[in-house]
Amino acid sequence: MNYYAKPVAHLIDQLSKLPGIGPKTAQRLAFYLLGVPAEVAYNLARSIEKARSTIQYCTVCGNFTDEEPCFICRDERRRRDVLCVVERPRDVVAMEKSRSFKGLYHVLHGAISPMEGVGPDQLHIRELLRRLEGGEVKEMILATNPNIEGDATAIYLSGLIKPLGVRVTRIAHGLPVGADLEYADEITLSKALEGRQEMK
Amino acid sequence: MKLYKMEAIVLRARDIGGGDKLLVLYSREYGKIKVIAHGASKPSSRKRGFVQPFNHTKFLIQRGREIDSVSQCEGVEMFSFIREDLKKIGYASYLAELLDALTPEGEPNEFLFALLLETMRLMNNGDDEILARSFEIKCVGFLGYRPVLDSCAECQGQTGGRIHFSSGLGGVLCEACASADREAVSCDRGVVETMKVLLSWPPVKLRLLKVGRPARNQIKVLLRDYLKYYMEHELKSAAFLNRFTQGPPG
Repeated sequence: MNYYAKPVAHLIDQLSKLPGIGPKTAQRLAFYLLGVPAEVAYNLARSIEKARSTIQYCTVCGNFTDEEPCFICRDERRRRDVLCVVERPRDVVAMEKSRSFKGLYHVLHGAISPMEGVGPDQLHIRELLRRLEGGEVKEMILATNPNIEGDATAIYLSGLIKPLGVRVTRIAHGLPVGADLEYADEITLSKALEGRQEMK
Repeated sequence: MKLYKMEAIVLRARDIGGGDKLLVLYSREYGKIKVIAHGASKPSSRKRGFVQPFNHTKFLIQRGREIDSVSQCEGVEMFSFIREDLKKIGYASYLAELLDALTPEGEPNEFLFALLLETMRLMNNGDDEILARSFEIKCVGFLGYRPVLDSCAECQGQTGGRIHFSSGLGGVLCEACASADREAVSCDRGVVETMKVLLSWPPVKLRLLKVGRPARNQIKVLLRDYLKYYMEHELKSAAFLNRFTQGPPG
């Protein structure tokens, strides 16, 4: 038995396909969109359509972009000799928010995961090797996540890139800002000790 | 609020959004169990480090209506040497995926828990490939699919002359019974003797076992085929291991 008019049922059905949205939330969102001024709902629809039709992967770094190449790869003020390798486009956003990195990025679109059947061939590694061919890149910073998949990816890339004469580094692992030493696990603590720095 | 304690090895940890992780654990007390670790992907999480795959951790679990969740946890052994070597990551993933595939939820088996724990400990300076073969054959043995290696799996007679191995018939076949399974493969007597050793010796003693490359390759192919027959699918980490280790795909 259908409780909704067909377009409403269709809207709820489409919204419930989004991650983390169950049928109740989808219903709430659908009724919200029907209740707000029409322009708000149309703006949302137009934004989704525009993002889907204009956003693509940058052919240089693999990040999401609406221009070719992306605004980071085009930026003349950025260092071209340092490349930061990340797993996902959202990691570029996280790194950019830190305002500490002024080089270029390369997005792998995943991480090596033996149990999920993700190997090096499924990642954008061939594109990375092509970028290194020019010899302009002197350092590659591996900013993969500090978990099993990120570690596996970092070990694989390090073995692949080091013989090319490029300096390969990995972002430091340690205690997050605001954390308690008491609750840190032994791997985090040992990594924090390895990466200790002299007081300035 | 109902809480219970357990000691477990993390087999898998999958991000499910919102910073939460779905964990597949193999516990000493309850066997395989799925739980949620809320906020475990966030840097500020106190659980974060202890719920990584292959960690041996003590958990305090809170019962939930649909799925239980991690209330507190404390690391026992982190096996950090595994994370520093791509092959070891591959082998540990294979052991975890195999145990996940072979065991149903909620059926405790202390032998399997102890076997996984001991095998992972020995990976620190042991022969990973031999430890993996020993884990495979012991695991299927504990679960009731122990391959028949002492006599012919078909006629129960002595295995004189050439011997064959049949996954479908569950072990070695004598020359006369080899035709009972068209897919049975010819194998060396030495390979069968090594498989008996892998089945019966405790993992800690396996460092005394010397196995040449041809025999390793044959055992790998036979056991992978045997496991595939019972699981009815191949493990994803097996393909990863084929790429990063020596030997034939199998």
